[in-house]
Amino acid sequence: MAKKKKQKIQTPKKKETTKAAKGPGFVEKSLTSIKDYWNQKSPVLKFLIGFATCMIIFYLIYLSPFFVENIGKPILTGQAKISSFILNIFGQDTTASKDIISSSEYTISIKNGCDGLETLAIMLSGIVVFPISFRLKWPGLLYGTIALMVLNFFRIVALFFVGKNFSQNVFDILHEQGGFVIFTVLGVFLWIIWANWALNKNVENSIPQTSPTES
Amino acid sequence: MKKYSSLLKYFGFFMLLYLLLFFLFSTTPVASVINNTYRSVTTPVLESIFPKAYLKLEKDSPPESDIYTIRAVFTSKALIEEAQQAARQQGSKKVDLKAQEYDLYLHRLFTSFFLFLISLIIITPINWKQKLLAILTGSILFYGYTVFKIYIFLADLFNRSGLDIYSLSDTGGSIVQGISYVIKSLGTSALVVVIIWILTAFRKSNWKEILKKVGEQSN
Repeated sequence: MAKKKKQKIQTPKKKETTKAAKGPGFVEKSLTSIKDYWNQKSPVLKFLIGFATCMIIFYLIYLSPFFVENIGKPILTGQAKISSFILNIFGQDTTASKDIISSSEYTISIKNGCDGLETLAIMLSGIVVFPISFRLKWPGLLYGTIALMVLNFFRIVALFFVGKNFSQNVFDILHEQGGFVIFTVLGVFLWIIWANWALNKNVENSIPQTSPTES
Repeated sequence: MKKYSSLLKYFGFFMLLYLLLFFLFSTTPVASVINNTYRSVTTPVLESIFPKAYLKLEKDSPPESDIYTIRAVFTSKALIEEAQQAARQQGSKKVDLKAQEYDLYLHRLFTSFFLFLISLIIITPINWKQKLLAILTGSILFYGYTVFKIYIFLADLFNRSGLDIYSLSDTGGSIVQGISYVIKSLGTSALVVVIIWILTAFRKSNWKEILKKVGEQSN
């Protein structure tokens, strides 16, 4: 009786080994590799999907005629006024009218794209979709916005100085290509500063606090 | 300042690398190679996308030939055929046909943002094997994006050119025009670079580690 029972138990084991020897099929292999890729990248891909969605929403708003007329133009006017104020501190004797900053020697116009809002949106979207508590997000949203706005004033002021003192080629490089890239990188680095701060805070908060008497 | 020394180191390294590469790629010999290579690779791709169009990517013509400019010259193949037939009937071998042109500025389209991507990948604290793989896949993805950009610009131009090469419906025309307006902005190129960088250089096992290494704060 005991021998018979043993044989019954062994049979399914034999079947399993034959199946395993054959190996998975093409579809199974593909599914496994997709699953592996997803597991390896999933937090990054989830972050990217959220990030891209935020940016699409931003561009839909940013490029809408309503935003351009009612929000974009007042922002540009404000930026021109503040930048002109900074330039006057450096003795440039400028005046601001709408989006134009002018002096007797040079005139500059701040257009859509020079307002720093695209870089700001990249940084803010990165903060919003980062998988961490909102309690840790709002300082990033607030201080990040202030920092990038201040940096953009310096960008406008610097471009005024470059345009006034150097050739059009140098201005174009700093305005359209190099300058834009550097400003975007500043946004990315501000996001990294925040992410690092938030991750450290998160770890600190997750460690249980012990009172001196307990230790 | 000491608190952010690691971050400043990475930022300084990025600036140095990017400016170095930017000036290198702006020199006439290198820019010329980039211009020739980009045109020779992209022309067949665009020809296969728009088989009904006669389409060539050319260098800027003298006397003011700008090495950073790529000129897309296009017309309808059907128009060429008609003009050739008319010339044959008149016994002439010469076909006189005006093509339309559209200038693409290589720095705006490709170089400055491609170098932005390369610099970002190089400064990312991952091993060199991962960096090379990220540069390779990132370059392919970014090149694909620039071709998509040209495709949208040309589809919009063809639709509005009156050449009757490719005509879009009203809705299709407005969509293409809208996309063309959005991707003309430098911000979208910067955004695409950031997305490609995250996609190629970051993975589950390293992304928090990368953020910590770059933004390391000493107390």
